[in-house]
Amino acid sequence: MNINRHNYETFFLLYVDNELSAAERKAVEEFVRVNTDLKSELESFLETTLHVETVIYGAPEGLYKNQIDLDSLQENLLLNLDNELDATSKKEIAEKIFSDEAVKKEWQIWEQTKLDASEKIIFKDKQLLYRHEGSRVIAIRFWRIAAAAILLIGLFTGISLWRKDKLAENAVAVNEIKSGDTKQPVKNNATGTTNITAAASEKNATAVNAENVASAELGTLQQEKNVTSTTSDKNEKSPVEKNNIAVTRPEKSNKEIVEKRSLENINKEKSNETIASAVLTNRNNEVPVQRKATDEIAITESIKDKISAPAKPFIDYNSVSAMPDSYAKTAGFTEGTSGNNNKIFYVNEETVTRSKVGGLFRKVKRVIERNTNIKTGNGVKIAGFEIALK
Amino acid sequence: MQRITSTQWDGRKPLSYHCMTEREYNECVNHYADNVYRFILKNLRHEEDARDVVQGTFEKMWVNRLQVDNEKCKSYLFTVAYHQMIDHIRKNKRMSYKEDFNENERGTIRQQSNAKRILDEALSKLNETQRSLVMLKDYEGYNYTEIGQIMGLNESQVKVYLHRARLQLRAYIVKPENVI
Repeated sequence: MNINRHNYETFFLLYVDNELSAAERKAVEEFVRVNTDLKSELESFLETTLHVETVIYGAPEGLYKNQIDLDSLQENLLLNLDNELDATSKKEIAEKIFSDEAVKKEWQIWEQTKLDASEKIIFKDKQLLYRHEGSRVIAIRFWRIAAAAILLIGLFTGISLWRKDKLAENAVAVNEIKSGDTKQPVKNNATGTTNITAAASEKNATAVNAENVASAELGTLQQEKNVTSTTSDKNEKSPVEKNNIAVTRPEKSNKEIVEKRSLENINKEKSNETIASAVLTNRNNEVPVQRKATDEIAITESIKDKISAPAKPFIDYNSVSAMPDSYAKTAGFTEGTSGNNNKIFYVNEETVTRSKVGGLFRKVKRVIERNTNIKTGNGVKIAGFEIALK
Repeated sequence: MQRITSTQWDGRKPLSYHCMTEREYNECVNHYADNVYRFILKNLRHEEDARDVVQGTFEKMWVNRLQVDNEKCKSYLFTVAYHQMIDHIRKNKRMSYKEDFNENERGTIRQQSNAKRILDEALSKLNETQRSLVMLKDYEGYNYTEIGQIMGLNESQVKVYLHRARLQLRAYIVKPENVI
């Protein structure tokens, strides 16, 4: 390979790195001698090479490692100090220590290097180190159970108080009726059905009244028997019509509404009370009772007239349409006050005591009815079940 | 109290051990907190740092209590404490106790020429590995194998390092100025 002005740089670099053969080195030197202008360039390449420097590490002794050169005696003494000897070797070294004074002295020195295990350093704040698992979870469970128990107890107490109020209410009503209160709109009947009438009129359950009155008027019908009476259709006419028992329901449409009631097990006063309380529950929001002079009724008189009436009394609902609009109206009875029209009569006002719990339940009931679109009124509702009468 | 049994598989044979319960953990605190604290305090020579390391050690044992064999809780504690101490030293470079020792050496130490003081001084001249070896041997009574497991050394290394530490201690003790 010939060196020329086009490839001389490569030869110069190889020359500097001492990678050329002797003949090639000579060729490069001859080329520089002929081309003197390139001599300075070759010299500059030669100046880039590093020269060998001598550096002396001043303290090599620091790197030396001292080999532990313990004789067997020292090693055994150390192993004995570390309690790492077996029983035989331990016994041998113990004898040697005991017999040889020099070994004993050596052993005493080694013993001084052993730390005193009885030295105590107390960590005072051990409370910081103690841990307990699950205690908080147990507490949360306990509180949950306690909260549930309190809730249940409160619920049952409220229900029981509410029921107690209702029962007391009914008991008062029955007692007053029994005592023959002159303020009662219906006089006592010889058959003892006025309590039903009073209770029914108190809660605007006219249909029930009529039925019970009618059944009572039969006279011959025994109280011990179970009487199931039904109301008539609204278009039906009967002698009871003459009594003009007007019944309205608090509906804005003011349409005629037919109420059918089936009563079961009307036996004695007790069963009557039960029915009355049921009626009270269903109708307790319809308290105001208006009576019209034109519709005045003397039930006691009508009872006499209707002894011969059929067992199933009928109510004239046609007369309802003739009545002016009223939010809550029910049957009323007069006692010689024929001159007063639209007189508001609060039946057994003194016995009607509304408890807060009852009001709360009524509100809840209304909300549930609105939200669930459960329509009530055309059937008999017993314990949440409604029995259609049509 | 019913003890939970856990099984591990190390590739060759199943290892069954009793997991640590809360009660056993707290008993472990009662039994070994002082020992661990002494081990760390003698190494670090700084009370607050030693307390931090001890708390960290027990906290780690509490977190891993289901993986800790109650029979070996002491070894576990010293293993964790030793490594936490090494980490602490590396992080904080809190190695000034040797300098403190040198200052003391110039002052009152010579006058208090009792064996314990001299030995403490000699101990403080060792590096943390040698010091840990001596303390695990003399204070806790572990054998070479157990010390090796705690400190991550093999048995021969433990033996050599420990003997070298003893020689240094001896060399310090037999100095004429320290001879009782």
